[in-house]
Amino acid sequence: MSAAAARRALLAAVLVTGVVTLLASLVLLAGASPADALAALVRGSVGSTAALGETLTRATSLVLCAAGAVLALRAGVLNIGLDGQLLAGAAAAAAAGALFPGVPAAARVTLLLAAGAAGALFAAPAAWLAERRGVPPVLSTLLLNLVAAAAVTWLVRGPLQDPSADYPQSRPLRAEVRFAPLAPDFRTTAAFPLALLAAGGVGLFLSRTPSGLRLRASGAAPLAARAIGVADVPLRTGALLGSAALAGLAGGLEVAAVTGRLFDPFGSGAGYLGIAAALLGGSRAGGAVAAALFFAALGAGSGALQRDTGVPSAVAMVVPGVLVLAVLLLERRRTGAGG
Amino acid sequence: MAELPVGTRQRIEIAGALAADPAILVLDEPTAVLAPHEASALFASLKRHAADGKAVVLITHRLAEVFEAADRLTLLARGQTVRTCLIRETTPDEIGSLLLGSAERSERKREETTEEILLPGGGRDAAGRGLPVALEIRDLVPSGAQVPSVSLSLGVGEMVVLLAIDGNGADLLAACVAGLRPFSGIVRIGGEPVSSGGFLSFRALGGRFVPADRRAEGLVAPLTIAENLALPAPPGRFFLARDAMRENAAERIQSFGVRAASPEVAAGTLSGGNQQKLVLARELDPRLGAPWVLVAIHPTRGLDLAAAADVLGRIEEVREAGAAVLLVSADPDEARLLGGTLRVVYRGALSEPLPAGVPLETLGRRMAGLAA
Amino acid sequence: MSGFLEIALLFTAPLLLAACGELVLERAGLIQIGIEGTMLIGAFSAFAVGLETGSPALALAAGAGGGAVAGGVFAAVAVAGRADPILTGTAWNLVAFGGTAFGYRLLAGATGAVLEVPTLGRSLAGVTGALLAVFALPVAVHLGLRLTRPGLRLAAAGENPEALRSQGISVVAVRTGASLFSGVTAGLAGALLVVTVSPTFVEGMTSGRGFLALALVVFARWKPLRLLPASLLIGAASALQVRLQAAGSSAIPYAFFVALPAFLALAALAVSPGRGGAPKALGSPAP
Repeated sequence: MSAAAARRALLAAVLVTGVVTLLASLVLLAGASPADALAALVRGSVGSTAALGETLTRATSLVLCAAGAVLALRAGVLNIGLDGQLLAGAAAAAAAGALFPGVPAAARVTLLLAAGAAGALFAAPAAWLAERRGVPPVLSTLLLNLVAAAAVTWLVRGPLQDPSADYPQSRPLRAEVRFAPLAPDFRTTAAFPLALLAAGGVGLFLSRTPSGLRLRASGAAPLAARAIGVADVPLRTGALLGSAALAGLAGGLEVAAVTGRLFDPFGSGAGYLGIAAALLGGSRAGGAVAAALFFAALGAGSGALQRDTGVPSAVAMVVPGVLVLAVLLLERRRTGAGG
Repeated sequence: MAELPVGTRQRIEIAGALAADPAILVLDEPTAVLAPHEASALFASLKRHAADGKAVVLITHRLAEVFEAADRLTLLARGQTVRTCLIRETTPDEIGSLLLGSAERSERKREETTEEILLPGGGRDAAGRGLPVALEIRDLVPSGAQVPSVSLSLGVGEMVVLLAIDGNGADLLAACVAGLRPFSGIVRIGGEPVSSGGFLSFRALGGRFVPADRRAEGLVAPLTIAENLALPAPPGRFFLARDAMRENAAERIQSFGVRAASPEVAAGTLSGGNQQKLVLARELDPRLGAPWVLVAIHPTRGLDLAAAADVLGRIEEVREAGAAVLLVSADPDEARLLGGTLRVVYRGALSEPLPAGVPLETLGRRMAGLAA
Repeated sequence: MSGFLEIALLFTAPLLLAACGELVLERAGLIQIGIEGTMLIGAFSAFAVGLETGSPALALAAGAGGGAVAGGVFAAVAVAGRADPILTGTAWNLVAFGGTAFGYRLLAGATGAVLEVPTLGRSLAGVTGALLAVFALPVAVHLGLRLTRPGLRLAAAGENPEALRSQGISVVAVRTGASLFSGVTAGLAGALLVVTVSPTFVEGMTSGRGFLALALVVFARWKPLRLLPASLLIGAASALQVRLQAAGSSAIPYAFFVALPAFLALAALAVSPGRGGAPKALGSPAP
């Protein structure tokens, strides 16, 4: 085993121990028994076909956002705006899905393309500000998140509002556009394999293509990459827009496969959790997918946890956050040393 | 403070360190950015400090400084102590030959593996293309710099050495030529213009660049050696041709004598000398075609004598093969040995071409901005 | 709540307070986007202690304490641990959102009953005093950065940390101090929301105010005095939004006002060059 592999194994062991300890203390804090809590978590996430369906359904947007975060991180771009881009994709899908007539397959493809394009389009101002004005994407994408949330508030009370509904929400998608569950009692739709495919594509792009190599170089050492003749601006712009498109696709699939319409507030913070999954997964597509699946299982299990043991479901947010803090602390930035 | 030239900042920093009257003072290459007469003044004050019973540790790769400043020396090569003795027990010649022992061995090895370097333009000589000027710089002023404009022209197979103390704008000038900094004026390679900040057109026209800071600008430290070598033109259309990458890396590593466990180790794990060889191995890769222009900033800085001789030999080969070489150096000894046209840069202004036999003292005074 | 001015000032104060702390931290060379989470921690601490003791003053103190702990965690990871501050902040937001929601559930039970805490009275010791103190803070920060030794060291940590270190001063210590200060101000800002604006805790109740404070710092070009007009502008816009909503006017969509501060900050970023005025070592690890 190489030194790097040994270090990673040690890190994994530390993290697993940490998660178990953290979960147990939160459960005890809430006055429940850790054994019951564990049983509830397992039951709610993988304990039945329905539970597994719930986990994989939750995992869909997480996997896509995590893949998007990996793409941006590796290019050295901090896209904190995945949540806003997800909302843009969801809004586009809700708007398009209520209108499109025609063959279901074609309509679905159009819908998803529209969602991805909307996500990318929503990040375009950030890309422009970054390359033309030197504004860090962290700031612009963060602000665009606030704009997106407000835009959804307005859309479901304005242009997209369903006149027949009591709540402010959009018209439902036409039935032939929606994704159907893969089996009765199994909520998951074809959206989940689609998300896995997209994440695999990101991994393949990064490790196996010439542009992926250039992108990794530009992200790891921007000055060196320029000196070597790597055209960095299109790479960074492409990575930001690509990661936004993946988030937009996540929003589109959420509408087409889960909710069937847009409402306010929409989304469950898949963007921030996606960034956490990317970091926990070592900014690699495979690791990010694994982390996203774990977070999704935790999210699905925490529902059962709260129902059965009274432990608040917010543990599903605390655990990823603490995990990432631990990873950041343990995998600290290596300061330049050595000959 | 940040606006001051590096040399001035260095003097302020040393003054600050001395003002605190430390019992032990460690200086790592303190003279790298100082003019020769400034260095002498520094050594004088260091000696006064030592005479007060304080310890001073000076780390340098300049032999002359050791014999000017030190009471005792320890010679290190490849992390090993080669010799420790009092200065009066040894001579510069003895230490020099100890150092050169490894340099000569490396030189022999290199000659055995010398490869063929193609002429610019894929074998056609310059006369055949009717382009005697490889690099033309006209009225160049780096953006934001308050310096006179610079004009310079290099013929095919010509070397110009820009000799300057750090902070006088020679690095900046070279970076502008390589298209990495914005500028006003004209830069042409083989008659074709390199736009301001146009590092891509510089490359496309056959320009190659060896930056000053190899760790930050020369290499992508976390990527493997093979990936670094492939970066300027990754092989493969849709997917990387990883076999081709590995083969090319093995060949480059061997022909440039890079000491590495395998092409798959991260470039950042190599020693400074091996990193610099890797940079040259990549820039002079025949896969990229023959270079028209090589711009190199402090290519030997921080290298031991053997590695430095190796790097300079490679650059000389490229020049002989027909490339124009623009080399920035802060070391007058080295610059005189290179055999190219010497130009001193002081506060952004270029001196007239200096004859090869110009005395070291004159060079030092010119670099410091004193009358010749 | 009566006059438009009072509402505007009440909305401005938490923003200004949080922005002041963020500005100090950024002048020391660090960005903390987890300021949103720290505000939530402050709000929740104030809520919990206010509920327990019935004292708004103790609630404010608890907010400051919670903020200090948050600042300590950030310093441990991003300053001493030298992890990327942005990523640290992202993770911190998750911890804070989840942690406060967890705590609130435990306090309020699964029923989600609305629990109210006492708020500050309108006296010199109450709201008025708090507002005065908050509006004096940018001036104090401005003078402190220019005239005091710690202030100069702080600015040096953001401009040229190597120089500071070669003077034998620990950059980690200086930045840790700045991190604690910004934690306390953000915690107090969250607490202020509870004891002046809304007397209860709601999950995610800061609703982007921390992010807006961050935008304000950039909008103000890292100059403390400029925070005053910038935050007042956004406070006034928020107050106008509340006014129009109360009046039932639908001439301007309500969502427009929610997005307005973000639009303003984006426009400011677009018009002025990004890093002009930014500390030179912003975001770089301590040497």
